[in-house]
Amino acid sequence: MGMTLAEKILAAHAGLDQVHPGQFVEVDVDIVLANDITAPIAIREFEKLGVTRVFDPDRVVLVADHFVPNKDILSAEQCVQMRQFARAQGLAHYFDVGRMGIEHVLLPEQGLVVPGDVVVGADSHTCTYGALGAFATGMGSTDIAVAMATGRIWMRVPETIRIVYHGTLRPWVGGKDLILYTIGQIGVNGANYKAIEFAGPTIDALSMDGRFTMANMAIEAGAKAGLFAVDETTRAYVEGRARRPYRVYPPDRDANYAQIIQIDVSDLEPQVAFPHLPSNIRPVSQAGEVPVDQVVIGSCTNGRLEDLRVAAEILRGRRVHPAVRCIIIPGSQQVYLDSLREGLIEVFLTAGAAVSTPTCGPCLGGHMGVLAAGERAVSTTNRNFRGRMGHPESQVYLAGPAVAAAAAVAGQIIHPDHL
Amino acid sequence: MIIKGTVWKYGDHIDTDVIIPARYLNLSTPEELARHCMEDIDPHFASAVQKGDIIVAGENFGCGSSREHAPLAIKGAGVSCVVARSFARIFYRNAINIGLPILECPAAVEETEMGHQLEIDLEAGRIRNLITGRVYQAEPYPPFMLQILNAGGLIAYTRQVLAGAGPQRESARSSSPAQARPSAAYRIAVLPGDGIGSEVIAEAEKVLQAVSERFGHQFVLEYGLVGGAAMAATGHPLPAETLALCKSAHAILFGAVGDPRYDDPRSPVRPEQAILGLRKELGLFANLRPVWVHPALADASPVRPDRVDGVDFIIVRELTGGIYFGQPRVEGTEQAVDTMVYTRAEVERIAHVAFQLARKRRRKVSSVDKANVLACSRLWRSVVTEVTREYPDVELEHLLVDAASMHLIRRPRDFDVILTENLFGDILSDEASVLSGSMGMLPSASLGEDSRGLYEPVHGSAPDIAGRSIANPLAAILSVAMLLRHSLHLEEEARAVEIAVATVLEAGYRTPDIAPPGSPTVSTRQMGDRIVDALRSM
Repeated sequence: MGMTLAEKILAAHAGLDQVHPGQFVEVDVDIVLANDITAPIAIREFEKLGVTRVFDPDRVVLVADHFVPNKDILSAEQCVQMRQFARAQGLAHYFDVGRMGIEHVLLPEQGLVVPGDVVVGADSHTCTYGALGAFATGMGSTDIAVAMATGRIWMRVPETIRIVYHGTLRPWVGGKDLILYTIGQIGVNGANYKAIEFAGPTIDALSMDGRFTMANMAIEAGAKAGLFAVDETTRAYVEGRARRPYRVYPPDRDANYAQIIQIDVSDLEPQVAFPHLPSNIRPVSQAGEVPVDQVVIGSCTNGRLEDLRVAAEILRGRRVHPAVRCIIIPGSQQVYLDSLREGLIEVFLTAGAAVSTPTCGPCLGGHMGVLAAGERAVSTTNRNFRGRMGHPESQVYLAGPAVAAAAAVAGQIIHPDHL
Repeated sequence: MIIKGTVWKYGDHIDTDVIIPARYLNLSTPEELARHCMEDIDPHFASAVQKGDIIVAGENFGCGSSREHAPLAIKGAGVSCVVARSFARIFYRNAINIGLPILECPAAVEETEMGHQLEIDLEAGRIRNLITGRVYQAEPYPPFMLQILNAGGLIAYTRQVLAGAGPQRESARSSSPAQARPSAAYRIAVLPGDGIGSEVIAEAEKVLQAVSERFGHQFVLEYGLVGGAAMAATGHPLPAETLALCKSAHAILFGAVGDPRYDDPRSPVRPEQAILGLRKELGLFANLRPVWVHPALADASPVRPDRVDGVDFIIVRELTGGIYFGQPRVEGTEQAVDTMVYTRAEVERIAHVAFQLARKRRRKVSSVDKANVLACSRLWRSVVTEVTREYPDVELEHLLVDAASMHLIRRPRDFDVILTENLFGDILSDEASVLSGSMGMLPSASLGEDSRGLYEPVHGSAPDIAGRSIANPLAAILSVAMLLRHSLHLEEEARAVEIAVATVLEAGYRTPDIAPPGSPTVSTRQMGDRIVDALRSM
């Protein structure tokens, strides 16, 4: 029987010729990941296992990104735990302030994840690496503790939904709009327990950064993983970065899909997710008048160079609206440096935006842009749950970098063409 | 374990950010996290929740972030169980890993309100609303997850696996979950039925018990009425309680149905309807009947011993389509009509079962049809031919049913997997049963899309010999082996049962049906005891 991309990668890592949805398999993992808020629990559970060493110090990656630079004493102590563990275990890939990035921007950029990998991370947005043709999925800290110790993890082989996109994208429409629209169509649990395979002519023409954004938000539809087949775009990105040789697994033509969804995106407008679910989608033209107090551009969803270029294109020669705080967060030190060299940082500062060192900070209401009661934010992040960015009575509207930058200028949600 | 507590009810899509807001993720102990649990949607929860209380919620509970802080906060708050319509994937896994009981049960969620009292039997997955008196059955856990739950969470489970295999990557690779031996409560519905059904099932239970002791598994056996016994008690051959029991079990062990008290074939209600009802309700579309002639029994076969020695094949019969179910159906005295219908999807799924089975055997499938006459058979043949392309390593032959019925007697050793439709399968499997010398030796399995299956001896209720302890329990015991293999994925345990049966036969023990005339025999009970002894001495 033909296999989907997810099934092929899992079969290869389980040492089996064939796997089928619903089957429980134990797979070898290529990379195990945790961050400053999930690692402390993982380390605590790891120690209960009675194991002294991680399975491979080159394959356990720890990144301080959520509450760094440390927002308070407790966060600082969590980072100390992680730092000490990394040193004691001799981990090759521990990333601290000044060298770090938001984990899901950082790992692909540094060539730590390559096509065909199985990656498990104690962060739900680990699914981002599906853009590289890897099977990557988020888990809790206890699972990560076991993976750190054994290099293996159990999984239920997911069914796969294939989503095929047709048509050429209009100006200001990108990966974020494709994935928001898709979540609006299938719902926040439309792919629960399943993998999504993104495909079609629109995807073939989509940049890597756009693909990372889409794979990143597969979890917002409940998916275990969101995958893209490897093509020339992937190879060009991986070239010169990959730290390990990699394998490419194409899905079989006769693979068995739980569902195949065809979407024509020729007429798709920029999309906005209204509070309090990522599936609460409206095209920007139907957003109505939504005044905005804060705009955040960044995160593991939209903190890459291409996202900042789009934002700069809109902010160049314009001013952030007097009623708005616009916070721009490059996703990694490298993205920051590239933005600086391209002159983007100057554009942002001239426009009246704040530029921050890489951090997850405001996305989850941690720091660097927490909202007060009644405040509204347009954010390029991935979740708009109640209280996600601060006070339970605050509101988050999710959008791509173009709509977010336009909202920063206009002081309300607006189509970038209408500035 | 029985839990009793007051309900806190919430809606759909309760995300991990509201279960524990991210601003508290600089904390990591359950007690600290519990103080802020649910505070953004229900400021009273954290202060008013009592130890043992139960959260009841709608769809997709725990969606969003992977933070284990969410189930830890709930557990730290003293909540004893979360019942929801459905759970987000990562939360479900986290809860099992840390030992927070969770149950999926849409019906209970529907009818339970804030402040109701629930009593939950976690092992059986039964939820009783003490206010309304209603009882609900939750979805069973997959057997693999039960192993983790019963070990006391993932850390304890992994410690067991590592203790058996050492912490190195290479050795961890060789230790599959099935090889770990934590205790695990597998729920098995036992439906003895009529006649000798209850006699042979009693022996099968003894064997399950012996497997449980030998391998450290926990089998929870729950009994249901079926067939004539059920008609006598409830008026219906498949009472609703029995059906619910089967739906909540990992596997069903079935004896036999058929009762002379209800023997009129024109009666609208008959004991035999129970098995048809179970197949339909549980979506059991594939019937597996292994035919295996033990060398020690070659003499019991009416076919020459040199032809049957070494016979080992399995018949895969499509169970829910074809002429037994096609419409229209017209009864008549001058003319009557039956209709044979097959769809592509029906043929595809049964063909996959056969090919996958062949891969674990000698990699040969013999597909049986009547393509020279029947349109259904021509569709069958073309779909099976398509499916075989996905199994290039498996040899496929097509046989017409008339030829197949002759080959079954003339060269039975040549068969590995016989794939056929409902009517032909019904006939051929009875023909094949003769090879082994006695129906009393033949087990069967009926499987659906998931791993749940129904296992039963091929023989009927045999009312003529019921109550005399002369029935052969080996078919029922070999059905237990199939149950262990196909539904519980306990291959080693299944093989142990089969080896025990072979050992006992080699030692010469025979029930009357397989004994040469005039030679000594053992009773049903004695045969069961011999198998148990063989298992214990392995």
